[in-house]
Amino acid sequence: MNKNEQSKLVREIYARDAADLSPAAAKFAESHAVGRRERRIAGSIATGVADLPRLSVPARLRAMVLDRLRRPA
Amino acid sequence: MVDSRESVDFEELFESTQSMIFNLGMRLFRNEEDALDFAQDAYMRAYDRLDSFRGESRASTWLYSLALNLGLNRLKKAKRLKLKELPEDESWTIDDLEGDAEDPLEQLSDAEMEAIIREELNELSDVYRIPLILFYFERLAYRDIAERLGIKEGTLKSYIHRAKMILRERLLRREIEEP
Repeated sequence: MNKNEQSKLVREIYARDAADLSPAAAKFAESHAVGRRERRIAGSIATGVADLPRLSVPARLRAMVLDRLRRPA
Repeated sequence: MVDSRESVDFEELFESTQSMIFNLGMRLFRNEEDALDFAQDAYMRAYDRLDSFRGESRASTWLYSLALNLGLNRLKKAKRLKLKELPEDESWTIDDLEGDAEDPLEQLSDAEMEAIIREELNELSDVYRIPLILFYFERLAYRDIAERLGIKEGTLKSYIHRAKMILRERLLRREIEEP
């Protein structure tokens, strides 16, 4: 497989969900070392973004919102 | 018609949603001060607009949508979200596809790889970072994101694709240069 063909399949791995890959891209992602690596990276990007940490809320937000609303206009 | 100001306990709404709204601000603006300012503004606007809440969805869903639009508009006004049509990526040849070479990521666990992705995500330009977050974290549909950003669905997909290719390249470069 030449570089252009590989590039096309790799682009497809990043452009579509794993379940929507064409048969050629699915086979490449399954059976080729580069395809497996790229599928792993694509999966890590999706998971890495989906699992962004949730931070605790600074206590002063309460005062910034509720105290301000309670203040007479 | 039910008066929304009476039907929604605003203090209770604040308590149950403050983490969601503050964290949305952190994802959009990347710093605590801007996130707090955004959250305050979102609650003030929501309070002022309680009359427009029809009770067709949960109050938290209504608030989230209002806050997200407010945040995206702030980014647009600051010219941090200028999305234009992107040229097709079809002609790109990816240069680092080494068929038989050793995989530079082999020694990395999935968790380590995801941590690097999150570091690099934080460094991405907003035009790539925001669409990726709206799709994978906020789990919004392409159509919904495209509408909120005022772009075509195809353009949105191109930005998400391009964002992933940039993260891929940075991940590989980091592991090749400093394994």
